[in-house]
Amino acid sequence: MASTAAGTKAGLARIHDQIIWNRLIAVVEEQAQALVRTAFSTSVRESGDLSAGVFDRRGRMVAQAVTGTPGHVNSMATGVRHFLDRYPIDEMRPGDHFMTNDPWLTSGHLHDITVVTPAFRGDRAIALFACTIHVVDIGGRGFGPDGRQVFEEGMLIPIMPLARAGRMNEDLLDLVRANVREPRQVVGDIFSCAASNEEGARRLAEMLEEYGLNDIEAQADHIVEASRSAMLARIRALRRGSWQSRLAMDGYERPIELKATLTVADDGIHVDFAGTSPASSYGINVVLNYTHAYTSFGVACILGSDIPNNHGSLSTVTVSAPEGSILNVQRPGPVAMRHHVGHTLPDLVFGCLEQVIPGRVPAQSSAGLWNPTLRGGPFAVDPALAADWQGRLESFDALIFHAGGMGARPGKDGLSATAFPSGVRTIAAEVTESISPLVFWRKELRRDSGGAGRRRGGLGQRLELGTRDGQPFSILLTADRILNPPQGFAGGGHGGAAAARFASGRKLLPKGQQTVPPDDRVVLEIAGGGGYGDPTLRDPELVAADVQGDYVSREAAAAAYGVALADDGTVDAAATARLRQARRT
Amino acid sequence: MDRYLGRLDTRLRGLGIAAPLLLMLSGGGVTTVETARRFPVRLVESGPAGGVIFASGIARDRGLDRVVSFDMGGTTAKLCLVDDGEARSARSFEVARIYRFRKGSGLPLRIPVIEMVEIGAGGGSIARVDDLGRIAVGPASAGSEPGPVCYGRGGEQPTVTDADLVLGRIDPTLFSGGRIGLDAAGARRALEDGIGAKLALSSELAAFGVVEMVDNNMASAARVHAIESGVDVAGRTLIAFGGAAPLHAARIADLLGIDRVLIPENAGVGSCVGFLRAPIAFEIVRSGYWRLAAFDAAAANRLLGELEAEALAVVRPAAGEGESIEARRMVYMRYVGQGHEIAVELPATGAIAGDTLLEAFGRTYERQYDRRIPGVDVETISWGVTLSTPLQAAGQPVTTAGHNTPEPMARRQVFSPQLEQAIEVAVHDRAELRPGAVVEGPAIIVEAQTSTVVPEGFGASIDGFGHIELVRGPAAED
Repeated sequence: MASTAAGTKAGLARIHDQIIWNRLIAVVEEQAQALVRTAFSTSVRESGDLSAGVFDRRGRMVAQAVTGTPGHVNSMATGVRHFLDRYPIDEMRPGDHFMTNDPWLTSGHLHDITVVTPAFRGDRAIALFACTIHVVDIGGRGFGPDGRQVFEEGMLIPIMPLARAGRMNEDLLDLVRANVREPRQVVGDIFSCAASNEEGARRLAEMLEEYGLNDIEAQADHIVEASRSAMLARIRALRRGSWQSRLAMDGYERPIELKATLTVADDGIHVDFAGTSPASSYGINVVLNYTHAYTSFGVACILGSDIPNNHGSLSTVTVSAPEGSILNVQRPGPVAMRHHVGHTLPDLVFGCLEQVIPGRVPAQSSAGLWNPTLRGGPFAVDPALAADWQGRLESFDALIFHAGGMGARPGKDGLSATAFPSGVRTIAAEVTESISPLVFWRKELRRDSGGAGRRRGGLGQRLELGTRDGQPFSILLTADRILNPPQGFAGGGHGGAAAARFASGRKLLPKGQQTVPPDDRVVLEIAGGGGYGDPTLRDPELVAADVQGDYVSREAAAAAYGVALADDGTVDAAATARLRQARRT
Repeated sequence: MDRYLGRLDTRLRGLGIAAPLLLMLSGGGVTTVETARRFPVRLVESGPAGGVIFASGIARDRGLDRVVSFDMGGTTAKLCLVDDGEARSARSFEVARIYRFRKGSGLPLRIPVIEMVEIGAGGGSIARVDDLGRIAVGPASAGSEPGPVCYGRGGEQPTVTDADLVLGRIDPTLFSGGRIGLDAAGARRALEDGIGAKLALSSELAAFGVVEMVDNNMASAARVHAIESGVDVAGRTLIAFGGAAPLHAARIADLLGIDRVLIPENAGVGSCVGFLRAPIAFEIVRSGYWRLAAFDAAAANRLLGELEAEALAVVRPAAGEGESIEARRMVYMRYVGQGHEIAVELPATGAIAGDTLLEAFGRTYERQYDRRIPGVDVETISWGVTLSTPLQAAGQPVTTAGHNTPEPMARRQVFSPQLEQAIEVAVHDRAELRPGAVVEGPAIIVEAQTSTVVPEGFGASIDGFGHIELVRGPAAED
């Protein structure tokens, strides 16, 4: 044991390093909470569709806030260096803020704005705070898949100053105001980003003062190195080799196949997406930065969920995808709804890891969030369908987030109606109803949509949406997993397929902007998650409980699980044994 | 719950106990057993509410307007912001969390609650070295069975209490009034094996690392909670109670930029004292939506009248006929288009009119956000009435006739986190300290249920209520 004075000093220094590490994580959480608290749009303040983090002078992410989405945070982690390439850190001044929404440099669509702010000690920039938010509108066609090129999807802001030495770039803000549908919310959110970065910088300054530090370079080295080593140790414990998995999606104009080859090597995990479908003509394409973000998140979920996410841990996963494929789309491809494809990437990673470490990964989830934009007002709806509503249409633009079921886990059922992998929260129906004429006539779990298995997949949900007075509105829809439901693992069944229709029975296209005619409604059914393991091995009591809770119908209990129930809902053991025997033979 | 409370009530009566059975509510009032049986959901998280009532009462007695209530027991620490003698309240609470300390992992309940943040940091919280070579403390806890290693009841993993013992903050012979002898050697060994050996730290440094980590975790939780609530924590007074809090309060005050800490009398059992001071109260909130441009004053006043009658039906039987009952009326309002409403207090009696409502909202909004938004209509979302018996005032403080500097009962070696080495400190018996007594740090003040650490740089004095007051700088002069 250390007993000498030098040993004590070294020991104390190690303890301080740890305290400072925790403190940095707390600082960025405060930064994120300041953002949530001051934001204007529902996507940020209700859903937490954001990220926040602190970076060292070299642009390496040192700590991130727990609040936020992996798509944002991991894209931000690779994105900040682009700011430094353009504006070298020693040329930054106090009161500077920089901004971009370039999909190829940050998180993959124009709706995400990233703001980067230097933090100073004296007159030396010693760190950068960054945050990314999803704004409610960015002009163009809006948040839907219909664009054929990124130019149609809204305004692109190259990396440029949002403020210099405390003076806001009013020219830029005027341009934004003139180009978006909700200028007050969007510009308000941009101000919130700057304010939250400043909050982070203030807290960092307090911490440096307290510990008598001039910068965080040594701490950053320690954090990055310790995280990288810990992640590498987990990877090196795996068998070396390469494994493949595939995942099919409905796509827009044609089906999509995603193909991953995951290679475990001494220096990390590499995932290559050769063999993946070419880019789509529509806005469901993914930039490589975002592909990287959700691929490394998939690896971290299984191997390093307790290891802090930062440049060090992220550097152990490398990603490649053919240029021009749907996972590495080139400019000026359309990308607005890139998450529908991007959110399936953890499932592809799990498909590979299931072969390396069986029994550790969940079955497929419904993945892509359903976040239709609902829009009302003149020319938001088809004028021919709004003839009787002249002068009475209410103008609104509402973004909602809803999720299907998660895949079953080897040891537990899947979570129902839960946004995996994005972690985004739903916006309460009441909140949407209070800012628009929309009414959620129905929002319920879909019975029998959880994939059957020893562990059942999470249930998807059903939404029925209309307006209070029957006025027409339009929906910008991206619905997938209708033809390709999430698959089960290890003998589990697939989740219930998604569906999208008008309540009247009229045909609703799964993707694209459409007008909901007067007095009609849309019914959206989001997929359930895949099951895990042989359903006939599920404890019959759990099946009975599922029937009682209306998660599973009596018919499905018999057909999918081989469980017969008596009239009072209890398990009929003899009949169950017969059913299960018959299924096995 | 209904059956359980019914049985309890019957049996208590069977024992000849005539006093009414009252139960603590999550919102900070007490109510009759009949009401509790009807609304069991309102009892969720009512235990910690008692602690906050305790701290709020002290804040009022002492005229402290900005306070952090800090309750640290065996498994968790709870922090609550108390402004003007009143705890912050919220109208939803999460239960059945999958991860107990992670927001969003449970089911939200819409009930009136005292708003607090709870983290897995207590005397029994277990310390370990994680895969990254970092000291991690909690949320796993050894609880009271088997408890910390030093209890000698089979605990094997080092806990925060073990670390406090190794640092010299707890006297193994005086713990719990001397009834439980503590195994200091066992605690030392556990810290060495569990932490020190893995990180090449002596057992003192390992203990220091554990305590620093848990203190920093609590301070960070307080900072994040404050920022979520839109207030600053620096410059407040910390009121610290629960068995472990007095050991850690001064360091947390350091970390939060707080200069004044109160360790109340009965600090070890603060929540129970809080129950005894809680008013009989009931809150009812109901939605009532109007835009002020089209405000229906008659309907709104009718709604308030109904709420008041319903609350009175609950409170009157518990309070008794003679007791006076105070009303508080709130309306939750916002600008049209906003997502979060603010609570606007209405006059306790009298009819409400649209223009007074608009003015009250404008004033409240301006106080919170520094400005009004002109030209935007305002809407009411919900209305609330709370009926309550008057808050009990504490006894009159004893006038402290001059200061005295008592002799310590002992001196011992204690590891100082500020100086990062062991130093000799004076040990005082709290029972011997009278109002007006002044103790300069570094010192330790021992009582049956806990010990108060007075670091160097702090002075301690006993105030007229018998509370220990720690103040940064020289001891308080009044």
